[in-house]
Amino acid sequence: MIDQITFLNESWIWQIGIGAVVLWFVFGWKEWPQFGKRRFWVKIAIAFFAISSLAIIALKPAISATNNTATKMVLLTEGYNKEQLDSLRKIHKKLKKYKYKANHPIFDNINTPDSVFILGYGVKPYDLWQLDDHNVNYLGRNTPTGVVRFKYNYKNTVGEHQIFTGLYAKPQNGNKLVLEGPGGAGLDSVSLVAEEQQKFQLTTNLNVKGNYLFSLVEKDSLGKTLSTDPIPLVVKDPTPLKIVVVNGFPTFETKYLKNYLAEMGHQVLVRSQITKGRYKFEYFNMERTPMGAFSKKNLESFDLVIIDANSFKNLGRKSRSALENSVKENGLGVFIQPDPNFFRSSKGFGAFDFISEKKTEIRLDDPEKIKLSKYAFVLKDKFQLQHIHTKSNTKIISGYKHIGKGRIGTTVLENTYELVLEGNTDAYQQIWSKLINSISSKETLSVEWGVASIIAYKDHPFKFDVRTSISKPIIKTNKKYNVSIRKDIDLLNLWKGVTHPRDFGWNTQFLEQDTTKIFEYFVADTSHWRSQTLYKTIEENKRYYKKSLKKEAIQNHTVRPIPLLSFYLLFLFCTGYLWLEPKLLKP
Amino acid sequence: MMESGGKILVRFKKRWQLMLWIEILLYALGLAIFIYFLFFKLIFSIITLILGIVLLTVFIKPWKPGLKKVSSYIDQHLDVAEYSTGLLLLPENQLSGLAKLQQHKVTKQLVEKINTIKPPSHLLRGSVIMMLFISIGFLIHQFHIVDYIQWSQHLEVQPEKIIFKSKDSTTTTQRPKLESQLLTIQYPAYTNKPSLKTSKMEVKAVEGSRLSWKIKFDTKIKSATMESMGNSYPMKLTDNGYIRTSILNASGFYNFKFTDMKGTSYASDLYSIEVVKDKSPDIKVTDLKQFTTFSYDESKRITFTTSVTDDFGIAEAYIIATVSKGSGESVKFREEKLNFDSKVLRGRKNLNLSKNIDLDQMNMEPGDELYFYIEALDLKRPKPNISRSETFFAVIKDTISDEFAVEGTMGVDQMPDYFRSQRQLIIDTEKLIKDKSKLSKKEFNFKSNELGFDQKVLRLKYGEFMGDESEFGPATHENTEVLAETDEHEDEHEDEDHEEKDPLAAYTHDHDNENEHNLVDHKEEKDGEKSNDPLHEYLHNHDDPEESTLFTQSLKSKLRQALNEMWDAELYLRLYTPEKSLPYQYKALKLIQEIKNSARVYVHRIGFDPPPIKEDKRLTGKIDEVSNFRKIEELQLPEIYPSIYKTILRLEQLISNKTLITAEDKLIFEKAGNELATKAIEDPGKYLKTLQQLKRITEDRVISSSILTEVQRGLFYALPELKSNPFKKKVLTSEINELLLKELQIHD
Repeated sequence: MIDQITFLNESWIWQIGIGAVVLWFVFGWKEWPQFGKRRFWVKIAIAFFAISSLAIIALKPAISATNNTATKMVLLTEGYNKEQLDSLRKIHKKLKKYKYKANHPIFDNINTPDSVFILGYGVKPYDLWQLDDHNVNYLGRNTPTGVVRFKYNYKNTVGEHQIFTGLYAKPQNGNKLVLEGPGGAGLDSVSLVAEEQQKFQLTTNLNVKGNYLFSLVEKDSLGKTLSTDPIPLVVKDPTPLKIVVVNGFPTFETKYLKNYLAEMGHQVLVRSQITKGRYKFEYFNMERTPMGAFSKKNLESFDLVIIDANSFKNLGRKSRSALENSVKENGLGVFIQPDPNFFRSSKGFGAFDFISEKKTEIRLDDPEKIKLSKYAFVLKDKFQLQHIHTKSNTKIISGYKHIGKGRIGTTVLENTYELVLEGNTDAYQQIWSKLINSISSKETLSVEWGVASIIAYKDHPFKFDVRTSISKPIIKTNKKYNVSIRKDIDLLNLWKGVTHPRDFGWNTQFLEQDTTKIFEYFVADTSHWRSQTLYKTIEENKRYYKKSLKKEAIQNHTVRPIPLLSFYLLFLFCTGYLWLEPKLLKP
Repeated sequence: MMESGGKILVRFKKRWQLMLWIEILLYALGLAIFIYFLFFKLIFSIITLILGIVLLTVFIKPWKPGLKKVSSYIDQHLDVAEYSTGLLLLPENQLSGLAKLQQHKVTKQLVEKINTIKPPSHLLRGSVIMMLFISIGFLIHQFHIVDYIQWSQHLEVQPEKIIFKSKDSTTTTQRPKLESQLLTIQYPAYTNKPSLKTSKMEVKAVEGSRLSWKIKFDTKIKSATMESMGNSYPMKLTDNGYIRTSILNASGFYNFKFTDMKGTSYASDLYSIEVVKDKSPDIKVTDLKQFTTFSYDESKRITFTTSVTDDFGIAEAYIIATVSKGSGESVKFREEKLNFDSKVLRGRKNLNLSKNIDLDQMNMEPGDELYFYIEALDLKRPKPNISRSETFFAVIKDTISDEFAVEGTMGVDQMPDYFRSQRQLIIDTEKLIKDKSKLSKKEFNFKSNELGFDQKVLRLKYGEFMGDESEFGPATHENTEVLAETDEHEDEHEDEDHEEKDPLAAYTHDHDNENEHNLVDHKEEKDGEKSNDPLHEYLHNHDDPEESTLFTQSLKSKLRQALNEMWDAELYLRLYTPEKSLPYQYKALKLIQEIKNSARVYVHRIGFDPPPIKEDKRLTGKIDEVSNFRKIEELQLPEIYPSIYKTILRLEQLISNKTLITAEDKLIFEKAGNELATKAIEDPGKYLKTLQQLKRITEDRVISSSILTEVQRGLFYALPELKSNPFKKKVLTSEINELLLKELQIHD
């Protein structure tokens, strides 16, 4: 039993012990004249008790007790189940109940239970640390009904196909999820079927730039709105591309392609050979710039080179290496317009493997299913090849390869301009925009902001990360407060931070070093996306306690301080006796 | 006996109750069927049936007639009962002797007479009422009275009054109130539609309708105007208020505006004007093929019916027929307007017309063609809508058009002097087969042989085109010879014909191959010659029949084929089996026709004749004068509806930040309104509300955010579909990614 007593001020034990002994000796010395008498021995003994009780008061003794006798506690969080609580109480009679309040201390310091049961959705992620040293039993709760997961790119470009994916838990049959755009314009909808979980996908084309609040609305079968959750979206204007087209001779394919690209506002330079050493240069939406043989310098500003297979084959050594280096180092894209000889071509830079087949017509896996003419080949699926257009996921019609930072790609489609002539302009544009999008060089961002959740709540922590090449970024909010950030251990350019937004609506923060790179996020009140928040809380809790379970063996006993009142009384009596005794005996 | 008396009463009671139940059922059924006719919903009528039965049961109480009531009823209605049926209900031992006697007597009487009375019921009334319900229901259903009632109810819904809002919101004085508003739409006379008077200001009417607006205020006002599509028209003041009339000819929008005596001006909402175009008549020709061909000996009649429909009435319908005679440059046309056989009733909306055209009556001869179409006019004024059907063709087949003719492409007119054409040969052969029974065998054989000879002559003539040498003398000589010839001779003759090549050739079907073989042989020889003769390349060697340049290669092979067919045809004619010969003749005819047609095409193919290039300039490879070509162009398409885009963005900011609309915003909104108006003219119904609201927010009034949201939604829907467009994507390249890519490439 005695070894279970510890002192809270254990670090002072030597100082206090020595002090007490010294004090006792001093007392002994003071009483020395009475040595040998019975009174002396009595006084010495009483002094010993007084001094030791004083020392004990200073050292604060405590009993460390094992768990089996100690208290258990149940933490009731939002949405707990009464029945669960009752059955828990049946098993553990002396169960302490505590209602959880977010952002408040859960335990007072002394009276800590050794085992905590948590009922309901769980503790807010930012309060989890409070349960660090406890043996926690998360009894949890079933998944809440509603959209528990929702994912999309919050930042996008005009003209892009925006896809929203999500997971609906326990949907009710007949209800509908509607994606609404600005002003509540219905864009897409999904009807829910009674299932355990239902995955859904909503899509729309973005056609206006700006910061918008789309919303996900749940309606019942009669069209009554059940819930509305905001979806913040930042839509930017697209950046046009700079494209150079090199052709050995003018073709219809190039003619229609350049018209399309130029009309869409891209900067296009077309160089087609007229005869030996003579070229036709066409500049669309751009200044006149010389473009002879390729050099790293004149390719620098371009995002994409479209070149026909023959010209590509006949490139000079210097041009070829310049092109190759631009692709590798600057991320330039190269698209090779094939000709029949190309399919037999050799190895090296810009070589693709093909499989010959009989068909010269194909319908792509697009919704339109328009017939396209192609060469009697398809691309061979190799490790490095990325697909652009495929036919039922087996035949690869267009693809590209990564080379350094850049890409090089080609297609087996032929005479796609016929689509325009037949009036299928949309299909034509879709094919080419997909091709060019995937091959052309990408803009590298100096700053990229990332978020863990789609929405921020007022006065709640909002986690974000920022990837930047700036060495010591400083982040400020629109109110000019600094937000502290932490560098990731493994990734040098990743920084993480937490902010607590103070206003509803769109909030901004930016890097002090580059104030143009603004991060905009939407702040709502906690009533939105509740199912998702609850689901996240459950998941966080589960994960956290799984981690903390390992600590169980170590944290088996708790320390209970011994009440000091008796020592105080003892001290009082002892000192009282010592003070009173001479006075009583003197007369 | 007493027992049976009681039983009679019980039976009577049951009968009474049953009749009451039936009566209930009749009423309820009649009602249910009536309901069914009204709504055509089975569930409704079943509910009505059940409800009716329940209600009527409560009302009529079919269980009510008890034995006592039965007995008193019988007592009242049956004299023989002597008011004693009540005795039947009592047990015998309680009765006195006299009573027993009476009971016995009554029972006896009842057994006999009970069938003469009936329990009181209204079965007849029930069935009459049921029939009444059913027939009313049927009539309602038949004459769509429900629809009519609903429609008239619909009409009764009066739109709200024109709301004028003052431009200056500070004035608090008494504003003039609108007393009445009236829009009269007078449809064009030809539509036969009565004029419409309404207080609804949205106009949807037929083009050319006369619209007149009349608005009246309770106090005097300074002036009233009507604004429409950027123009402002003053309204005329009469005793009855302000009036303006106009003729409807284009879709658009309008609003009213007035100024009161204090100079405050008020404007109303926008209203749309939608023009409904008078549709052109719709013509459908049902039972007629686009092309009809007749042989000269058929009865050449075309019969068809046409249905013409128009939305307001047809004025006229007729047939325009054109007859073309001759061909090539000598073609002549004659146009005629034909009327339908049935009379065209002016003003009818639906006409079924029939016509019978006799080509002979149109003075048409073989080879002539008739083109005709149907034209219909509607009643629209001043200019009627005219529509016409597709053109139909009727051709009388030409009998002589198959004759072989070599076109002017040849330098020399190599037209043979005379010979029987293949077509004639076919006709003669067919005639011979037909007359076989009438002719003697010798005669038949002779004719067949003769035809065979004609076939041969024809073949030889065509052979001349091929460059084949004619193996015989002139045809006339041959002719005389053959006339004298016997059958044996003929056989010899046949042999002679073929001896040079292969004696068996004529009797085998390998004939084609044989000839082909010869052809190859010839070529081989030719090759040999060629190698020997250095001049060969530069000569036009006419000696070699295979190299004759009269026809192109494909033509030559075709002609060769035709000749082969003729060989076979001749063979069977000479064997006196003209039936077997016919297929070959047909094949030959087809081939010859093809040759003829391709010769025609050949003429058309000659087109551009390039000017000669000077020899010294040719293929020198000098490109000094060829220079680089540079072109700079701005092809970017202008943005459509820029202000609408801006407005949507600005509205989003206004909604989320709840700020006030600035003057600058109003300018954008106004521009957006103009852009939307251009779009809205095409489809006023869709965008009118947005346009009205947009106009409202450009004016200085307090705007609720719900209106802003609505405007935003309206504008969002008005945005055009974006074209897919590639753009520069933004990515963040981290070192880790680059390292991974490098690693991948190293191990590739």
